Amino acid sequence: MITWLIRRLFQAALVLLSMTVLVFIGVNVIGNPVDIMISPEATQDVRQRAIEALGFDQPLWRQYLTFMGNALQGDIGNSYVYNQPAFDIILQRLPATLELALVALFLSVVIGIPLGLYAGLYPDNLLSKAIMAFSILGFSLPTFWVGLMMIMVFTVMLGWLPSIGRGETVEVLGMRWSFLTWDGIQHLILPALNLSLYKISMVMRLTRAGVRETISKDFVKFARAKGLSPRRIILVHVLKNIMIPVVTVIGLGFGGTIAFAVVTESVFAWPGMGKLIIDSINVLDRPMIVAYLMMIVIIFVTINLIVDLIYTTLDPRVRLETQE
Amino acid sequence: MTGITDPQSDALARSRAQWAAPQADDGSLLRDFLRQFTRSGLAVGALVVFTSIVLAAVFAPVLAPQNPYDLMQLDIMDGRLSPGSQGYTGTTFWLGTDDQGRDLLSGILYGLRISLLVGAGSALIAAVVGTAVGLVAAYAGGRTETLLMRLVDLQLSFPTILTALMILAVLGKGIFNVMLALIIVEWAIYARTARASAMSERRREYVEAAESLALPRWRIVFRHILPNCMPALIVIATIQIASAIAFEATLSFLGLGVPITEPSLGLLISNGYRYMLAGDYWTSFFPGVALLITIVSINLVGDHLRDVLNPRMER
Amino acid sequence: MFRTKLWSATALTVAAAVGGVQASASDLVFGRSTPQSVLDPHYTVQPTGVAIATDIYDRLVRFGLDLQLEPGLALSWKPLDEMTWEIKLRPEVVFHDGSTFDAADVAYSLERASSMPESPSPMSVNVAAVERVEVIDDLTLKIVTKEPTPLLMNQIGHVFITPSELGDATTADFNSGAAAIGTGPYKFVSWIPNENVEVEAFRDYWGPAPEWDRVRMQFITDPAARTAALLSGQVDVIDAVPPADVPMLKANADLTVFSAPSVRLLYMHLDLANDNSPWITDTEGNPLEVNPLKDPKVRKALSLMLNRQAIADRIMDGLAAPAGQVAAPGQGGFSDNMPPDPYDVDQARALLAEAGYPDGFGMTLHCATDRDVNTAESAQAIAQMWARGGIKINAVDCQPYSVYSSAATKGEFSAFIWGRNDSSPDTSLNLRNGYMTYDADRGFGSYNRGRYSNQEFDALVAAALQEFDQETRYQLLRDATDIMIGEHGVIPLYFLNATWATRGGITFDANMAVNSMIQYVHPADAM
Repeated sequence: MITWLIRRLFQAALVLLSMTVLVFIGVNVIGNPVDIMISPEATQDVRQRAIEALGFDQPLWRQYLTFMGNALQGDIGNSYVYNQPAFDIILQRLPATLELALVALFLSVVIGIPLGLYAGLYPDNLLSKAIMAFSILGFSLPTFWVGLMMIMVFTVMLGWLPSIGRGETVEVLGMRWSFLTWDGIQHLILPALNLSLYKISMVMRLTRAGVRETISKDFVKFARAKGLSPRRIILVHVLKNIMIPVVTVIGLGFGGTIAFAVVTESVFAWPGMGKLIIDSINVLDRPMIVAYLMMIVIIFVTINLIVDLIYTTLDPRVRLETQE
Repeated sequence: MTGITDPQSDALARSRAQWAAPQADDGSLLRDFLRQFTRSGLAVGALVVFTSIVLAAVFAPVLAPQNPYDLMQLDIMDGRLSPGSQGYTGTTFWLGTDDQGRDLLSGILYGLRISLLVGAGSALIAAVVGTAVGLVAAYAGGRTETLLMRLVDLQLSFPTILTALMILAVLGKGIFNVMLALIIVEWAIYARTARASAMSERRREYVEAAESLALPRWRIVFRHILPNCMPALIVIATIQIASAIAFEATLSFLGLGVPITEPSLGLLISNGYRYMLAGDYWTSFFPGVALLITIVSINLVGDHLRDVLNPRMER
Repeated sequence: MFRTKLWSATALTVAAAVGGVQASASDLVFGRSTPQSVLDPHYTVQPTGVAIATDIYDRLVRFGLDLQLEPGLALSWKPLDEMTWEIKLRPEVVFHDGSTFDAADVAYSLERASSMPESPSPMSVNVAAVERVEVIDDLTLKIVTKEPTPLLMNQIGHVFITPSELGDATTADFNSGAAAIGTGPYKFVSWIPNENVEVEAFRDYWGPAPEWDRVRMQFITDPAARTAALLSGQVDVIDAVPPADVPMLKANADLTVFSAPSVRLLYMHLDLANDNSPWITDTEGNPLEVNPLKDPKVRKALSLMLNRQAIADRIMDGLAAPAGQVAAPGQGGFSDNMPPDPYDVDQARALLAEAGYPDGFGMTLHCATDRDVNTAESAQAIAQMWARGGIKINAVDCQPYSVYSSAATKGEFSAFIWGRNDSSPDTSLNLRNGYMTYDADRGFGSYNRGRYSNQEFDALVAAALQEFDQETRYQLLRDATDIMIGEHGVIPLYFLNATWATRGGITFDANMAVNSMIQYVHPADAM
């Protein structure tokens, strides 16, 4: 177990390293940040000084080595836009996104799994068909469209919920959180719902597919024959068996939600990381992109680690040794 | 998917569960399949709808009243006309026009072609590639698995927009570069799901038994493990087709996808979105309905296919 | 780092506003399209750095609604000789921390602005002309320039003045609010990155008393979300109103729309550098041996094919004004001889035939998707018009600005749409950077991506740059414009309107410089 963990951490470091190389090459082929950001009033001289100060006159490999040298001392560099250490800015934004993603994840599980179970157990029921039809809407309507519709209905027409920003926040552990105040929760509802719609549908459909498949298996029949209560059969035997793909997708989705919630964040003016990275990519703010991706890799690797651990508890047939 | 059964493993399997396909020769298998499939009226209906959509897309140049890609046939003076109104040359636009004066009916027919090709095409290729990688990883184990799975991690954490920007900067624009970007972005999702399912399958007794019988590896993977991973993969694939189409729209909207003068369905929706608050609903509504019908029919067919093909499903 | 408590009050305001209750008249919520990236006023000239700074800090001059300079912290200024300026400062001005403003603060701020090298868009452009600053007494400064610089005040006038007591304060000090001290009408209260900035009235402000007690700038980058926020009453004012939403907002009795033609010009750059331009083909799509764009007749034909008014009306919903030159009406150097080219396809076809292209030629048009509103739509409309005029349009390729700007700078396009806003009092800097012959060493034509080049034009602009007499300078600039526009060095398209919308009778000073300052927002009862 310990060796397995150490091995995984070592691999994560390698992933991080290859990611930094990719970003350097990638940003370099796309363009030059100075061309994008500099003022039209700037003279050639000012432009040249900016390019030199930022090191863009150096060959790429040298820029990379300089970056690595500083990174090993814990300095990823200052953002070109914010003129602050890139990691600090990401840590500022992290709680907003984390909060949004966690609530969306929670919604997708508490709504998606029960509905999926129901649709799987009673496939011919009218309600099940309605649920399935809803789930198709859930993933085929564009997020920005749904978001705007939500604002038009719940904010503009009904005036029930606010649609802008995080509202009142409370500082815990040096980070701001919305979910601890009533005002903050009100601000959370619409964006979280918007973000989770796709995931609810996904979880619902996976659960239904799993139930439909498992229900006919021998062990379920056997359990039925043994006279176990239907509730027990469903909650223990069926659910446990369908969780592997569901957990994988939720895990993947969670990482994806944190990373790419940009549409929801823009429509609801939510100050999270998704918007941050798109803005940074648009102006090729390289330190920001690198720092952001390092953070995402760390999050993904952690989630995958947790997901792999969950597999082993869900299904003893999966053993960690296969991870070698 | 189920193919012809292997007598030895079949015997093993039967002792455990009814996982195997019905024992039949090819001809009756097809007949059996058709009989199973046609049992659901809804699925047949969906198949008919889907087929007509594909046909409409293929024959768009014949069916469309206007060639929406020909700039000479467009006029901004006809821009954002409501459904049923007449342009100043006397043509009637049954579904209205977009901001460029493009007949939306024609735009939708042409746009379907791109959306189907890019969306469905890339989702299918990504599914094949990703599933293969996932299965290989799960079955090979060891260094191969580690390498492949870390590659998956790397890909999943890399922002799509950055990938697409890099492809645009290096390869330039084009429909196949858009597909490439989508495949690069999506294969990892299948790979991880396939591996997860396969990991649990490969420890089952029937696989161990098959291994002990020294059946060739590829045979175990593709004949025994893959069919059991299929339900989850089909669910994801049908959803991913929808998201690939939406994704293509986002990329095109940002200028990373298809040319704006040759809009896909998704691009029509994104372009129309800005006129929503202004009340020109048709600019995004009709393309949206077309997209919805397409996706619903794909999903109904997909769902039913999965039920029919699933070796373990009760019939 | 974050001042959370302060927010409970405003959070309640939002809740109240959503519930349909009007917030107190002296509080303002401003939904703004540009987020704040730094509070350090010397880090960048980008709007992400400057936008809020204009209300917290003052500058030596104020830029009037007509773009002309008005006294700010400087009361008067005059050139002693070609290279030396004397500036008299405004007495009895205090900073937000109570300290008194004097000449040392100006010297400090100019110095600090020039020493921010690690910014891709440094403030140092505005002090590049300054050789040295001498403090004569508390309220008098002498500035020595590197070369004759008639527009010195227009340049250093952009630098925000901070107290010299800040010493070597870093960007982080400003961002935390500790160093965010100016003499402006509003005091910094709090900043939550990408979400909002809050300021409150500074009662000891030297100018007109601030009209709002407390203002929250709420950053809403998505245009539709901005409109929705105004509709629902979560904000009182929004800027950068999407053109398509304007008719709907105007129809709403609670809302008022304020719009003015701005200095933001969209124009078509043509590749005048290459003999075989990369995106020019013959009508069959084969590469062309010569570059037809080098012929002024062809360029004029391309301009005559455009129905600018139709683009302004149909694509921009009337929120654009056809442009015939690069200066906006009212700017020094605006030439009365250069109205927008008429829409005349017949003459255009005749000119094309005269130039030797009776059947036209093939061309690909490039533009950026994420810079100005509806540029991609305009590009398609232009393509339609050119196609009608006999040009074979091979493609309209719109790209994200990050890829687009680098490629355009490298000269990889043939015809491409660019946007510039020059809000200086006259066009001399605009003409120098945008249209003079490209010369990296002397810093001329640094934005001349089409590589227009004309000796006579260069000489006129060079003379204007050193001409202290305003009327003579304007005449030189007008003559230069007549030459450049006369041979269509670029094809001007249209000036964008800048548009704001308010609710509850609040008024806004629509301005051509596209400034969303709090000072331009007035309470309903103020009228």
